Amino acid sequence: MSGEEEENAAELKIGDDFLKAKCLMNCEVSLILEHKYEQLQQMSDDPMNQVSQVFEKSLQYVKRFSRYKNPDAVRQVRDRYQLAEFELCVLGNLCPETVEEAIAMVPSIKTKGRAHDDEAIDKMLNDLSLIKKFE
Amino acid sequence: MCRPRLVATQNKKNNWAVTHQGTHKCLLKPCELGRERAEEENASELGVEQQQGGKRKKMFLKVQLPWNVIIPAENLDAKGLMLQRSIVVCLLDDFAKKQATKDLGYYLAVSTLESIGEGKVRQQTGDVLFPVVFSGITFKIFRGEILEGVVHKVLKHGVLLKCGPIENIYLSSLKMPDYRYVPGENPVFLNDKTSKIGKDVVVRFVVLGTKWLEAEREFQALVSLEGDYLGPSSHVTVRGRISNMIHKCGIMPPLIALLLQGATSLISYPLKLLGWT
Repeated sequence: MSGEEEENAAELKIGDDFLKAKCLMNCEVSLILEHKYEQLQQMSDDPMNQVSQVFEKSLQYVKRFSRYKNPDAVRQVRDRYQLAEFELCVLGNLCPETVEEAIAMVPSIKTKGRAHDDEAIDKMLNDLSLIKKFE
Repeated sequence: MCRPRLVATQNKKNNWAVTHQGTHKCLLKPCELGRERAEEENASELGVEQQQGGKRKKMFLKVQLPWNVIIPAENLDAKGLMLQRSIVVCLLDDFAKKQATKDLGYYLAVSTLESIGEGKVRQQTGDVLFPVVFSGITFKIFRGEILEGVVHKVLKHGVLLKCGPIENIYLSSLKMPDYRYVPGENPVFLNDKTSKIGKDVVVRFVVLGTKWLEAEREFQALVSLEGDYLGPSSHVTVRGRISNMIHKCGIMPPLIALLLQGATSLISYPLKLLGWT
């Protein structure tokens, strides 16, 4: 693990352990955890007793902050705009409405020199909001 | 690309796709979440692919972890399925007990068991140790990351927020300079633009730093509102959205409250009639 001083999500610098990890959006985690919870429900009458506190709190959190019901559609957007997984997850979780807001949330979409001009970002945000509307 | 003999078994209750293979280090295609169900129903059709790095990171992470599972001798069973079952049960127990680690964050759930290695008998006890690899979901927050959390305590010098499994996220009043503390039965922080930070309010913040507490196996974080587009979130509730709209139209604050109440009951009433709520 690279020293803690170097970790900085704003610059997309995160420990080595996470190079192999995959980012998930809140809505995806919500799907997984709810599915797990359903399984537990089938097994016992009092599923809340079965799960750890961490699980319970996380489920509560992602249920509240889940923005999409259809993560596959959101992933399509990433493929189209060559977003890093991390960036996609931030956009998908926070749902910025304007280009300025999006850049404030994910500074790296501007700095990485991937020719994302304001217009492209605007189009991307539009796509994301359309997905939300029509799912 | 190697294609080992894939013995995908499925335990209806736990939905494990278990691979058994020789020395090849082949992994199940990481199940894309939406498809998880389908995969479970059709475990034998899972593609096997060599997986190399290139995956990235975020607060909720899907990671692959090596782990050692120790099965007591009495749980050893000649029939393969029962053995796998006890390995899985043991893994789940250990996983839940672990709660969190400094490097990977909070352990939320096991998603798939990727492989079970060769068991090794432990001399003294006769227990068998199985090295396993599985995928799981973890949660870790990083410095510089922008997140949303819910206020659960308002103190004089700042507020405490929770964000998933992390309950101690401190937002100091020094880091929200526009807001001033208003004491009372339900103390809140207010700013000039009638924006309010009180209990149960959703706040968007940037993480300044995190701290791992070894004894409690917990994380703490220090966050700030200094930055663009940070503060109480207006996206999250309909109420927030309406008040935002009204705010833009420039109607007086007391009127807003009245309008809000009217609006929400107007909306919720027909919904109730339709049985939607």
